[in-house]
This record gives sequence, C-alpha cells and structure tokens, in this order.
Amino acid sequence: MPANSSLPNLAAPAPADGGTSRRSFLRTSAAVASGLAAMAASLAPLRELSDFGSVEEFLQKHYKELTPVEMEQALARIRREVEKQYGLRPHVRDLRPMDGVEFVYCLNLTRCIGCRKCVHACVAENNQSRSPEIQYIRVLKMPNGTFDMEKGDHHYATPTVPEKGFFYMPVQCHQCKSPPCVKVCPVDATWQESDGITVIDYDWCIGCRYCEAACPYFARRFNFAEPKIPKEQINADMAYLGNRPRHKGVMEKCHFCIQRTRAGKYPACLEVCPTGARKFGNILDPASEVSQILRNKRVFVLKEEVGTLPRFYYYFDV
Amino acid sequence: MNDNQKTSAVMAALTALFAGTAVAFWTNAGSSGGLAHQSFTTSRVFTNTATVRLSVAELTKSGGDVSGLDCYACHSKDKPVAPKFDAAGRLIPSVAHRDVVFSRMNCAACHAPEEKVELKFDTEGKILTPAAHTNDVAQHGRTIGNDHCFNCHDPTNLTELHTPGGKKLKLTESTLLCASCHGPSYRDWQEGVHGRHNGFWNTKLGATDRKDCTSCHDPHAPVLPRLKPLPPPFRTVLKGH
Repeated sequence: MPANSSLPNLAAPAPADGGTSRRSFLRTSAAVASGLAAMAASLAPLRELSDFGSVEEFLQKHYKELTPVEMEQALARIRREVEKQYGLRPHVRDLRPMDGVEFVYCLNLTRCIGCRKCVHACVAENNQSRSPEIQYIRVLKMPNGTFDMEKGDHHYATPTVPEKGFFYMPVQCHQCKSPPCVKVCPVDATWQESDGITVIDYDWCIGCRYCEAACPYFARRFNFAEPKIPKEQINADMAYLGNRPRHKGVMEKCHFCIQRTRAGKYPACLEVCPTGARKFGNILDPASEVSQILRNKRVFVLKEEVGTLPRFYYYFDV
Repeated sequence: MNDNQKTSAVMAALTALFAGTAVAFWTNAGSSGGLAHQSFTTSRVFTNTATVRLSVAELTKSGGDVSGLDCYACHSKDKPVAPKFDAAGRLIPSVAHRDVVFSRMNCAACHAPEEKVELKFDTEGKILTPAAHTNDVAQHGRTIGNDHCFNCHDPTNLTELHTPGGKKLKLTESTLLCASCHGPSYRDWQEGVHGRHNGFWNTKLGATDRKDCTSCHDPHAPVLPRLKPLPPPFRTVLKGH
C-alpha cells in the first residue's frame, strides 16, 4: 500500500503509518454528509415546481374533440383544482352558443366619461390576476379632434373626469369576424364561436404569444407569472371558455363575459357603467338595443382599414 | 498537496456552492422587482351596479325611505308655496330641500362602505358642499333657465307633477314628465339606446331592469356629476415609451 493513500479500507485494520485513521474517516464522512445536505437544500425549490399541471390536464384533448363525458371530467378536475387553490367550490359550466344569437357591442363615445368602473368590474368578474396586474379593458384619454391612437393616454389620473378638451375611448377585444389572432395560432387554441365570441382553451394554449402580436387592438394579455387573486375575491360563477382561473404561461382576453352572456345576462362592464355608454345584445334580433343603434346612429369601427371586421362598434349621440 | 487534501478541498468547495445556492433560493435573491407590485384593488365599490341616484319609483318599489318625499310633512296644504329668487333671477334653494336632494343620492354608488366621510364646515358653521354634491335644486336647463319649481311640480298638489301641457302625473311617473320636453332622448330610452339596462339581455331567461331617467339624472340638476376615476393600470414601462 502506498504511503500517501487516503482511501479508507474498512476491512483492513488501521495502519499505523498515515493510513485512514478513525478521526480522518469521521471528518470525511461529516464533510460528505454536510455536502449532500447542502445539495438537497439547494434542490428544494424543485419540490414546489407545479407548472407542469396534472397528468389529467396534460392528457386532456382539444376542447372541440371532448365528448360530453370527457368534458364533465375536465370540469370536475377544474372544480377540484379551484377548491384546492382558493378554498371554495366553484360553479363551473361549459356554456355553448345559443341558436340565432350573434353578439355585438356598441359604445357611445359621447357618453363615456372615462371613470374606469368597467375596467375594475371586469377584473373582479373574470378572475384576472391582481398581481401582476391583468386588465382586459384599456381606457384611452384622447384629445378632441383626432383619432391618432398615439395621442391616447391610458395612465391618466386626474382628480375628476371627464376633463375638458378630451374624449375617452375604452378598448377591449373587438371579437372580429376576421380575427388575425385566430389565424396565427399554431395550435388552434383560439377560435371563433358561432355567436361571434373568439374564445381560448386555456388548457391547449402553449403561450407563444403570436396572437398578442397579431391583434391590432392590444386586446390579448399574457400570464407572465402565476396569477395571484385573493381568495375572498374569486368569482365562483365560472365557464370553461370564460373566467375560470388561468395558469402561468397562457393567453387570456375579453370574452364578452361568456359565463354571463351565454346565460342571458349583460356583461359586467355594461352593468356598472354610470352613464349607460355601453350597449350589448343580439344583432340578429331586430328589436335589440344594438340593432337600433346600428340602424339609427352614426357608428364606426376602430382601424377599419386593417380588415378585421370588428363586432365592437363605437357611436356618437348626434 | 496530497490526494487527501485535494478531496477535502473539492468537498468543501461543493458544500459551499450548494449552501450558497440554497441560501439564494431561500432568500429569493435576484428576483426583486418582478412581483413587488401589489394592488388588490377590487373592492365592492368597483363592482356595484347601482346608479348614481335612486329614482322615486325604485325607492317605492324597494320599500325604501320615502319620507323625504312627503311634501306636506313640512308644507301646509292651505298655504301656497312661493319660491324665492335672487337678483339674477335664480332660485334660492331652501336648506331643507338641499337635504332632500342629498338623501336621495345613492352613496354606495361612489363611496366604499368602509370609507369614512368627513364633513367640512366654513367659518360660519355651514357645510361646505363637495364638488360631486353640487346637485342643488334648480339647475335644470342651462340655456333656457327652467328653474321654476312649478314648471314640473303641481303648485296645488306638491305630491304630483304636471307637464307643460297640463297633464297630471304621479312622482313615480316622472319619466313621462321628462319625455314631455326631451322627445329624442325619450325615444332613444324606449329603444334602449339611451340609459342603462341591468339584468338579462335575453328576456326569455330573466328580467331586464330598465333604469328610469331619475335613476341617473337628478331632475333638479340633470347634468351628471363629475366622478373620480378609478386607479389607472400599473405602469410597467416608463412614460414616453
């Protein structure tokens, strides 16, 4: 045996001349043990890694391919996940489009005063992340006499609104008839339904953000971080394609409050508008408010030249 | 350096590295700024679907307090009411009526329930009216000066209204009174274009709640009060970008 060997030979008796003594063995063991403990501690965050979701979610088929039984299973999984995360049993449904209904939104620019009630009602209704902040509606303060969007300011914080010399233009998803966001989606995670709402299957979205880049209205939002919503502020009335909680890494956007409107109710942004500037309804019903507006008022769509054919009309009272 | 010392040095270096990584994860170093913004702003006042005011019809329907509308609790039926005007011909509102107008404001539409409202007084002890509450009597008609009580109220019976054409209406039918002058707005309201509907767009599935004129407009000062805007979005990019 060489004189400088340090490998412990447990089978042989400790050599007297520089072999592994009991002391050096204990020292090496302690060093190895503390090293392993430190490594385990440094890997500990892996245990909290939950971005992968459940196996069930991973194996789930595309929304359009789900059989009624599979949809029931998916809804049951969502109920379980929401209950685990937020501690309340949600009312999750898969609401389908109604026959003979095509939704249209009209917004009266003469009436809008820019109070942002719609923005915050939307956040509360649709379970958007509070931190980081996600909002579907952006209210632009525009100087009178121009439609140059670059002159718009959506960070205004004047003590009171409306301010003289400005008009306010809320912008949200326009639910286009020819939606560029749907065209660019590489996995068909977003599509247009028969009632005109462009929806997203949050379980199918891969988070490439092509749709965000394609939208000329800046209507789509990306979950850069795991959404944070206080438990007591969760809206338990949920829809699969609507306001069920999203995960980090998926897109979301306004869906005309699918959980309300497909159940016959008005969207949340309309119900809080203090001036009645927001109008919503079925364009196929000639007696609806939106039909009256399109017949009798001067309406226009935003960025008509890009050919998206929005279902969101702006109009004036004149 | 012999092998023994080398092994110890490598072990010590690895231990230090792992321990350092563990500490870095533990203290969340390097991720400052990203999620520092906390804005849990959703309070009930943001989602309240109430309008700025409550109409008399709504108050009556909900069984609310309508005692403020009992004109003859203060006025005597035998004694005709005589409005007073200043030198410019504008009505001088009585303090009692200012109170009536206030009491019919829907406080919860603007104020959060937990918000503490502090009254401010001038040197003489009179309440200083905040800008949002200047909905005083007789600011109806900026151009033609429709500021006479009896243009709308019936002088012989204060609990009734009358149109310029002489048609008598109850207080709960005030929408028809408004319609007697504001034809185009009334037409738009009937079609659902002016004003607001709450509830169901699909009347087969539920009731639609159509708001009256006086749900939003104070009949004595119909111009909507200026409102305080809710907070803007968190600014992630510096201005000018």
